[in-house]
Amino acid sequence: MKIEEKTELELEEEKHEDFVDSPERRNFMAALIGGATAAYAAGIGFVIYRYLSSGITDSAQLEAIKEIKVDGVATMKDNSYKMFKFGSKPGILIKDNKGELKAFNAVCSHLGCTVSYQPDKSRIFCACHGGVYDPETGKNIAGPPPEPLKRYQVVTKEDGVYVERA
Amino acid sequence: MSLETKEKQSNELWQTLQQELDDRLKIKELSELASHKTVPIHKHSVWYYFGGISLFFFVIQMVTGMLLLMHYEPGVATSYASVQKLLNKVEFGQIMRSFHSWAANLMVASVLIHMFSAYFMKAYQKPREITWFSGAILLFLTITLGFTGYLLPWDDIAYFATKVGLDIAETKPIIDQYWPKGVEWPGTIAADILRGGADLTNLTIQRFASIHYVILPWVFAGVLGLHILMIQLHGNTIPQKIEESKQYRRIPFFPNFVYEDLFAWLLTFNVLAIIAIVWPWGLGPEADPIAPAPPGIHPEWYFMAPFEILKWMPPSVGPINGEFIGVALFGGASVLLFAVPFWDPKTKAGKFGKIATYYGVFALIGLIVFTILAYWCLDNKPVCVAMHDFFPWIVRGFK
Repeated sequence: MKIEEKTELELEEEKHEDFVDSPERRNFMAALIGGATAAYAAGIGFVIYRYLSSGITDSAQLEAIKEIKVDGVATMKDNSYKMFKFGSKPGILIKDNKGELKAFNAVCSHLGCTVSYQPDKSRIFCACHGGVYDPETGKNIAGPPPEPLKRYQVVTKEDGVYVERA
Repeated sequence: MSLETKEKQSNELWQTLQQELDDRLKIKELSELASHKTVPIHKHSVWYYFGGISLFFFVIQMVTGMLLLMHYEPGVATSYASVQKLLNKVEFGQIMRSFHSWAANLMVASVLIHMFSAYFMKAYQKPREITWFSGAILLFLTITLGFTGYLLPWDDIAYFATKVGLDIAETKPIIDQYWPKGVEWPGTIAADILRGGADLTNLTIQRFASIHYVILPWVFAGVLGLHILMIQLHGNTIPQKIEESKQYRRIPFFPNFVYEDLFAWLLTFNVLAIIAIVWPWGLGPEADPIAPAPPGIHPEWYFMAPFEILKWMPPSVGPINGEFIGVALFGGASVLLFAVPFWDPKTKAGKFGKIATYYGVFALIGLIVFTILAYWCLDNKPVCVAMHDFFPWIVRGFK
């Protein structure tokens, strides 16, 4: 068949066939499929991210609590301690040898375990990694803790003992 | 360093990495194996997609189910509240639940279509019997997943659906009057175990939760693995007439059919997304053990046909429990359908070949008719009441 004998339609078809198998079409399709996949992945990823990060109990609300009454302080002996809940966090109230009350945030500054008071050694101790704090000031004195325990104010009112934070 | 050397180096690195991976993963051998797999293309090959679509729904259910569990709290006091919180407080929580509920329904539909298409193509015949039976188990598991998941939101419809469903399991073949004293019906024992007692309690929710999102998915995954392995071994069935007339061609499974499957999945996902967003799945009032059943209450569409059949049954026929007759009729018809490889084992010269097809048509039409009838009769039209009373009337007439 000579070229000039080809009809316009045949030429058009030939062009079409060229296109169907052409590298341009291949690249175009690859970009299209890749782009669509990326768009879907991004959309679904965003939905899952927002879904998982919402609806969580708002601890900021609990953080807003500035004052709490600690029960049973009157019956505490000297050189003893009492745990209490302050907002969402644990607190520790220590009655020292002189009968003075001290309150601290009981979350160890090292890796977040809850600390305890050891009356025999008169120290605040964290059982997880052996952190030691001074029960008078909350200062970190031995072991891995990088910072002192946060200290709270103890206020004795008519109806009992309160712990306050700024 | 010139750009060319850089490119050459990165190519070499890529090749080394490929070789190192291949030494361990045997990718070349696997792709060599995959390249031999073909899929027949003919006028009925559209049905082949429904297996893949069912699989896709299972994947969606796994993903959305795992995500729902990150907010769901099973328990009488917490189930409903946690779903409410999911709907009102969690971003995209409504959509996540809607996806899961809708995909569950569409999965049942897709599995049913897949089952009937396999049935009519006679894909159950030698050597594919194991594929068929594992598929039948997967259909049963799909519906059981639907039933157990239904209770978890603990709204009124969840409560009654579970109550009725387990009561059906307790149906004795003989009415209480003639039932031997002290003999426990196995159905009652099973229902008591599922409920954790005689009533729907906290234990029921915990058990259904465990079954729904631990036990059944594991079992499902195992049976699905077998099902897919069997399909790899035997390939797709070509209907006998098409096979004989040679009116088909074969395309490579990879990448050609995989792309087509992926495209079907994309369409499925988009359809699901539109349905789930336009018609968000509802939540009824919280389950209340002393509240009466709401009027017009009915099960999901895939339970509507047996639901309607039960309405036709007389309370009893002699000593035989009427409800049991309904359960036996529907169960028997289903067992006959799934046992088809036993009674229509051969393609050629099989005298039951035609009967099998007629029976399939009968089962399919029966399902559709009773489902439509069930919806139409929801408001207890006088015609329906008369219809439902027909068999009881005959039974009374005999007395």
